[in-house]
Amino acid sequence: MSFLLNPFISYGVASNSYELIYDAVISSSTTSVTMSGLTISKSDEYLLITDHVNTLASPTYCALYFNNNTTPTNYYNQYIKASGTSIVTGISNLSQLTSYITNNKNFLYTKIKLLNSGYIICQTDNAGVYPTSLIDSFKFYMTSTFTTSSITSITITSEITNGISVGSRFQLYRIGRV
Amino acid sequence: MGIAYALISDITVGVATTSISFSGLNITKDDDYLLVTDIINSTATPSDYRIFINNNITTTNYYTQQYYAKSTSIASSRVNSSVFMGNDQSKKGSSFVKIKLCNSGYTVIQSEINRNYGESSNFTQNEHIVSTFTSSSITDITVTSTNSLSISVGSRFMLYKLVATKVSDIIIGSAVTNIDITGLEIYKNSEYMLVSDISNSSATDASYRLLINGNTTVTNYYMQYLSSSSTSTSSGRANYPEFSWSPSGYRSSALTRLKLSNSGYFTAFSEITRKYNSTTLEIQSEILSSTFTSTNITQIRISSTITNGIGIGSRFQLYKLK
Repeated sequence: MSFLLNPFISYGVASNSYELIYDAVISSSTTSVTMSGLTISKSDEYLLITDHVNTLASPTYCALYFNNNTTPTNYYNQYIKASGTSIVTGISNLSQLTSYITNNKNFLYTKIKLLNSGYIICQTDNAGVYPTSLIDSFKFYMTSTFTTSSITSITITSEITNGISVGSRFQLYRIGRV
Repeated sequence: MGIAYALISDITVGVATTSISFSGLNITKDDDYLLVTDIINSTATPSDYRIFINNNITTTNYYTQQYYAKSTSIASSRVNSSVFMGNDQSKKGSSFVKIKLCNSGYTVIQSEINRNYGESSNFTQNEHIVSTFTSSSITDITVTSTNSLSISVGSRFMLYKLVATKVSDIIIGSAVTNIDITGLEIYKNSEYMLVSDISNSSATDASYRLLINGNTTVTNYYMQYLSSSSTSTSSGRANYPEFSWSPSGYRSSALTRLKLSNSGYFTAFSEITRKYNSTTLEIQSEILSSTFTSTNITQIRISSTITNGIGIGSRFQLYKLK
């Protein structure tokens, strides 16, 4: 059974859509990407979509920091890893956006919320080594230990130098607002 | 140009309470809603939080399947109530709660939670809730705490309606095996979401797959899943592009994000409430990827492994989010 799309709808641009705030396409390997000049309030809903490529022969993950607070221990991260039939969970005293990969790719969605209480939480669904037969699932649930009244910058940092390789992409959307 | 999720109601708690309500709603089977909560429990007693629709506050008219991951422990359970969140004493929690009135009339709620946020004891819980009754619309949503006044000052509830463009809405009138959605223009800059309600009225359990651009060789895709059923938590990986699954005689509801990654691979992230028309609902999260690359997606095939496994009353709503 075949269905054509509604002929009365234009598919060029969605009339009510995610609002693209930042789109970083990496053309030269880097260690860090910063999105500045943001105005994320407690009334907003944001989504970060990440395609992380690491072409290095060493493993790396990416951390996610807010407002230049790059002290890892100012964040806690509960994770659930499902790889094949194995499930592993744990909590880390650091900020983690992506899973560890070596010469491979991650693809992930991260909900970012500045709560009414002032804390920042993130919920990430990560497909690790995703275009391969070893695709795995990481879920990260992160919290800041500090509060803030707004988010003005987001920094994504690789654990190793130049661990954000060419072809990586980070798209930040505002998806809901007061 | 408006934004994808429109705010319907925004409640910030100024005086500790046991219950908050959203009334005067008009949620139909065409709609998808999101409730974002920040709940503070300032009392000295732990509390669960329940959600009810249409003032049907009999807790046994709902079932919840849930799993939590706390440090190195993970565990599942199923209860005869509508718990969507919990807070220990003097703790805070936040949840993203998807609310769907399915084509069948049952209500399915999926809640993903950060508990004890702000602290070293931060952990997660995922709760899926189904009603045992059907409705033609949702006019009221009520949230109550099991411990008195555990919706404390500073708590906030934001209810959104998805108002993004719906590019396809298919309701099955006669059982089929495959559905092809053609004429699509999905690029690396696009964001799409598929909301599916699948009835498997066949005599055999069915896997449901997503295949793109006529590439119907299932081994050109891989998927990883995580499941929670009663007290069992399990996972697995397979060499086919499954985005939903339904045993014979049951219905499954899934929210699936579709994306052509910057690297050119087709990906789908699916959050499924399986067997939602029963008291034995299950949670399954599935992530799939193609092994081949594409520059765009012009066609998506929804395919059942069983002949006519997409039964009458199944529904597929495809949204263009960007």
